[in-house]
Amino acid sequence: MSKLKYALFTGCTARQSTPEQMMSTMAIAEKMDIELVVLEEASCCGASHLQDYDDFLSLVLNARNICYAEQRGMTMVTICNTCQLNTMMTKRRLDKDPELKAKVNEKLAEVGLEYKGTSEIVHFLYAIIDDFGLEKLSKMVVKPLAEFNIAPFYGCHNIRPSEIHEDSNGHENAYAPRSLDDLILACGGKNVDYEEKNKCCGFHAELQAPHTAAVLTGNAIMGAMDNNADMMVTPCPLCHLKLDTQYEHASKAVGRDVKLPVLHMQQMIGLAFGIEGKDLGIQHHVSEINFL
Amino acid sequence: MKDLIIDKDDFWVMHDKVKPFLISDVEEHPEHEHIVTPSEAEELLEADYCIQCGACHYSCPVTEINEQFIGPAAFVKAYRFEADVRDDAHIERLDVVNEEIQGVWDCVKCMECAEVCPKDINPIEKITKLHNMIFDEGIAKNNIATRHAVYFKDSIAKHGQLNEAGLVIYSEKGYGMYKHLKVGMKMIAKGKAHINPLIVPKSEKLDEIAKLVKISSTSKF
Repeated sequence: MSKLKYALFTGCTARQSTPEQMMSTMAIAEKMDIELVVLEEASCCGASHLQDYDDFLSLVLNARNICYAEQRGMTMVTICNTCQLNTMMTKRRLDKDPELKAKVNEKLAEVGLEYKGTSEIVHFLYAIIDDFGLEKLSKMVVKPLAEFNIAPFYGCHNIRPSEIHEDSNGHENAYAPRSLDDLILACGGKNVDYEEKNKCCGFHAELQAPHTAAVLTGNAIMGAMDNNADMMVTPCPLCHLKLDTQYEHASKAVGRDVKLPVLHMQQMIGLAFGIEGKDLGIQHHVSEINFL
Repeated sequence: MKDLIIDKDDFWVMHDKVKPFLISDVEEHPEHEHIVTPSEAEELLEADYCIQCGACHYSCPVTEINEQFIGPAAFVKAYRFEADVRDDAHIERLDVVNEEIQGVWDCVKCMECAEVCPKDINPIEKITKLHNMIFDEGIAKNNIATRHAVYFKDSIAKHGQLNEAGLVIYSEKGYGMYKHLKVGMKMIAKGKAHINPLIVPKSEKLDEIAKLVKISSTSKF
């Protein structure tokens, strides 16, 4: 197999409030001999909010980001569910609407770019599963996470709407997703099944609707705790921020102390590979990692 | 089979709230029909195909927590009439979905409504359209939700990236920040946030991004 190579769209969060996600992504990519070329030119995807204000601007900016993956002739890999959805939604809309694509390209031409639609866009979780392979990954596990019950938290924007994602997420069933469960098993852990695993963490309404957002976070952590989870794991840095830093607000909202260590999926893989916790950035967690 | 029928009273209350009918100043003795062209009809984005099954309303996590939230089905209904060229209500109906707590601003963007709809109507798409209409009609209030949406554009033009701390400070208008102080201090202590919110990583080719923001913007606030 030739070396796997991707254009990495980091998103804003990995560069700011979840530095551990960037560290662990790079650490496991190196171990797995995957080359990630960081798209330093990329802008914010608008995080599902910019399009509420200015839909066309959101399309232009996301198309521009894709252009830089196309220029390198690479598939774009995202490490944030919301980046994945926003970028993919832009691609789907432009690829099926030549008129809209022409309008966007008219703007991009002003900076010497053209959106063609030649690059695929895939979240790192599915690149690992579909391109690298879980079997190969499990053979690299030196520290199986066998003693831990791990609750997968999928994050909305990787699995819904399935119509947008199905070609890039292995036709994941939005009501019974498997990918993250399979990844936990491949890392030697025990996967926890619970009702909230494919539900919303509330992140996107945290400022506008703090009570709703806190109840959703509380319900998610509570669901994992009540099913004997020792920790949670997520592919989305926004879910991670919510679950890792907002447990006090969440506890107040659901009337019970809820708190669990939460890993990024990259950190879980890294730990199973035997990479040191500090190299995976576990010192950056607010809900302390207490099991190493 | 009666035990399988759910009580949808709350659904209909929300449905009625958005004035789910055509509000039109029709002349008493019109001389010709009000013709809707096929392209104008397409603007409804199939919102008129909704069968009021309630699947989106009851899979929406917000309607479960916030009893005042109008919910995706009624938002689709509001859009169906807002997008109708014969309708003259415009702001009267938009005001209802523009209210905080009950309106579109409390949507958590979980995409459950798009996933569950048996008619592929994609309610979240209409919710986004309603957001756009609120800005287009100039009735967006200066509140935490609108500032939150608008800030993305400003930050992207300036940094390429979103200034995460800046987003919270701007949206909360400064004095709302006290709610976030404790978490903010913890995040600073853990190296998740910079003590100086003006320090933001920047995208390369920032002049290109700034130019695109300038020439592609279609909204004002």
